[in-house]
Amino acid sequence: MEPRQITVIQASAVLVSTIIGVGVLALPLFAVRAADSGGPLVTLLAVLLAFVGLALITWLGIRFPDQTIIRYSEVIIGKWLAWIGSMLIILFFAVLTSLTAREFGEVVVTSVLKETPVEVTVIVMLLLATISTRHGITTFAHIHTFYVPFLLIPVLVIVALSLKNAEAINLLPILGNEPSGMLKGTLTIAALFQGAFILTAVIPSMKHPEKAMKASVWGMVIAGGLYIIIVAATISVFGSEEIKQLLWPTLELAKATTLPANILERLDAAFLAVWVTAVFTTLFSSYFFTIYAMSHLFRLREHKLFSYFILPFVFVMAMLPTNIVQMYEIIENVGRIGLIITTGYPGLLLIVSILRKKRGNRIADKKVDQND
Amino acid sequence: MLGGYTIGYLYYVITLFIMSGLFILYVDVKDFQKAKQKKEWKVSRFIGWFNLIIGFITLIGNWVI
Amino acid sequence: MPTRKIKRMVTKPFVSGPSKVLDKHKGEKISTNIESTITFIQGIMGMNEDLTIRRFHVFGQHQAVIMYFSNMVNQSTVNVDIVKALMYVPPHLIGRTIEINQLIDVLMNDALYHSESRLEGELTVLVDSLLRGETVVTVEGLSHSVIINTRYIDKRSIEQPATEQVIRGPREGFIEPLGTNISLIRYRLQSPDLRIETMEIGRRTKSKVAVCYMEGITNPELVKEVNNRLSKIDIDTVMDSGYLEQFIEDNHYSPFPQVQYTERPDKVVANLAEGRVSILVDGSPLALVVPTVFNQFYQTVEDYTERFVLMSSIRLARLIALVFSLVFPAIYVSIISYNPELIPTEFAVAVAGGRAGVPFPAVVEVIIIEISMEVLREATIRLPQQVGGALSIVGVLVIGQAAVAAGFASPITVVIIALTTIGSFATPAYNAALALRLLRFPLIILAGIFGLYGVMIGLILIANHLLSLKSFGVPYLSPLIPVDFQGLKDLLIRGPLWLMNKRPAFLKTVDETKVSETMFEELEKASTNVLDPLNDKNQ
Repeated sequence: MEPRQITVIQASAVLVSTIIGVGVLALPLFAVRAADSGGPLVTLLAVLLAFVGLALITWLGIRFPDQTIIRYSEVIIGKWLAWIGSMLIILFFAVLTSLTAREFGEVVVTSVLKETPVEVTVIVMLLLATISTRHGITTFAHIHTFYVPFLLIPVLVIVALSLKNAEAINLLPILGNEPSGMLKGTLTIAALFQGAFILTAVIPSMKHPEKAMKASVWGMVIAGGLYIIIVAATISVFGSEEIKQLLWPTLELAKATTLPANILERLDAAFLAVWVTAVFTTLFSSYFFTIYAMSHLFRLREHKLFSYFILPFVFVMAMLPTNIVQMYEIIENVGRIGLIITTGYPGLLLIVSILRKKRGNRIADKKVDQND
Repeated sequence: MLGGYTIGYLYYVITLFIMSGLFILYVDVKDFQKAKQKKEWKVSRFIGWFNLIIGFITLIGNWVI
Repeated sequence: MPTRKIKRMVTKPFVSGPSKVLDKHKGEKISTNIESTITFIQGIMGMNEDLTIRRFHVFGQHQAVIMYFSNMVNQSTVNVDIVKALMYVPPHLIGRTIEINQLIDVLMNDALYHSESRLEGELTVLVDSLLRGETVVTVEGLSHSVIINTRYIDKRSIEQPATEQVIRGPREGFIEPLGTNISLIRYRLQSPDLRIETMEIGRRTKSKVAVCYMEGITNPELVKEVNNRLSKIDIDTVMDSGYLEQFIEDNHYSPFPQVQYTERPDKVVANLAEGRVSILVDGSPLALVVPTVFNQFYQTVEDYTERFVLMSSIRLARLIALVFSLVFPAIYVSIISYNPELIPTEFAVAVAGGRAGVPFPAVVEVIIIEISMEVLREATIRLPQQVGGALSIVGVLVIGQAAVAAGFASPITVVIIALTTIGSFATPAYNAALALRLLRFPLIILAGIFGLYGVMIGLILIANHLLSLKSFGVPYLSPLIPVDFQGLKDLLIRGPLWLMNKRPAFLKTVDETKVSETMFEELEKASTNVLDPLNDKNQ
């Protein structure tokens, strides 16, 4: 196990870049399908819901600062039940990885590389993740911290430039025409935040695990805020009815934007290039979590042996949906199941641990590191 | 062709299984042997062979069926 | 699965040659009979014509012999300070007879005029010292020989290094002899903290290697690690510091260098003062500096000697040139082949017109021109001075123009490749420029296959590799990742000297402060200038 080196800033960077991923393209569509022009509100509700889940995980992590969820779940509910829970988590994240890779491949093949088989794009992205996950968790945090500016700045720039075409009246009414779809929409969008579960693996390697809540808040504020801004910008530019016709509204937003002085037009290709980074970081996180959790489950000290092992399996799972429509259906269903796993299971663990008065090593007992 | 489904990506899968198996056996096993981590060495040897065998079975199975 | 054993260099004894004989005699004492000493040395050295063995009488009484390699010694020193001094009895001892048992004392303390002399009792050490250019004096009846350091080897004059030229800054560069290099460092760091420890590496070359560091600044663990890695090196020859670099680096397969080298003493001194360790090798004008981080590769000495506002902008320009030299051709290929809609329409027409007659796809064309550019570059290095300059201009212009006219390159490609190559020269560190130069090719191929995606994937791979690379434990992209606010002042821009008041945190130095805290306040105070008309007291 590596010494604890991850700072609060790095932990929030991990959260931000994991959450901002492949869902960014289809996000406005989900929001609008659920609540028409109430899209930003639905997104806000989803952010709050996701934050509840994240807060549960953070609380648990602060309670057990030296162990990942795989280990402390064994302490809380006993070995066999925890094993089942952990296996479910690992399986869920493997499926999440495969779906992310597949969604990525579909977008690429549809928009740009029309002649490439989707298998190739999926394999390339999975290989990228495989190679990068062979390093330790500190390098993992470094990589995320490095890429965060490259994610945030282009998105903000595109949003800012697109406001030229925006009409605020598209954002009204705020509650949307059919508030009844809001609940389902909230759940669907909250599922986009599930990658944040990676925090359970990051907290044991943080220098100051007691500050993890700060990292969670910041991560959620930045990522969630960015999502809300994107939804608001897309709706104000296109209007909610138009978006229902678009599969990837954010992409269309980039397409409609031009840089001042006509330096570059039709920025969607450039935007996609930046989006590759966002997908990579998300995929990297879920792939890493899968093999890291596996290594903890089997009490091994290294996780890199699993990196190439699960590659074929994840690939097979990624290719199982036969077309885009089926893929999105599966994503929605898996997302909902995932909410149970990422929010319900930690909630259960937390309640049981409070009832049974189980705690990890107290943070106050640890020696304070001098070179901080 | 099981149950009417044809999978066009079968050859990709076979390649991935075989290559990942080979990679694990040649790189990871050697690294763990050098670092004298017995448990990791055994596990990686197992999963390396596992992937390799699945790859070959799928290859042969595809031929036969 | 077969697991091959890793071959490790085991310290083998010498297999053949005079070195083997020398090994056998290790530890033997010098006999009092000088004939046996002379026979031994002649046996080992064989028929070397430059080995001079000259017999004479010490103080007119005792048989003695002086041995040296005539091409490695300062002949006048040997003549005047040794032979003459030993042939004449010292003035204050004239008339007294000097017995054998007093002779050593008299020789060392009264007769020999040379300051660097010592006594030696072992036979094999005589051979070693002869090979270093020292002179050996053996006297009949004495069990010890006198060894005098008379080493003198012709060296070139100190001039500005060809690869690291500056406009504002010292024009001195290291030369081959280690002694001169150490003197160049010492006079710049006239502090008792400077420590220079030497060791010998290379079984046949026995090259002297000096490890320099500042005690009280450098982390002692770092020094220990450097010495550790150097002591593990067991090879035959060490021709240059580059040989050492390849043994002490962390990752042998990475294209990026983890050890910096320089020919300038002021750069070495600046790095030593920051808390790094420097390694010098006798016979090589290039000093190694460890540990290295990526941002050192686009910093130059001028950045610090000139004023900060201007040099910050120039440093940014350098950084842009560096990035350009990596990605420009790849982006060009991907935009032309896959995403032409990104280019503004008028320009796109021009590009299309230029590429109209070219038979190859953009990838192949770019790769052909790139490879020819690399070949041209290699060729120009080896051309003699007079021919080189003209030929390179002629080569680039004429051949490029001819290629365009012949129709297998488009003008825009030639322009892009030329700009890229010039951009790669803007990188001050040659080894880093090499890395980026070569990484261009995989990026171009990826761009040709996958378009902008390929470029992004290639860049992600490179970035991930850089993020995981470490040099002596320091993450390669410090101070960017992990974030260190002090270091960020020197990353993209060059902060003012009085603001850069701490040493880089990643070096974990013992003493942190560079600039005293009161310095800033001192600067803030308005200075009273007599020459300022406002301050004129006579008004």
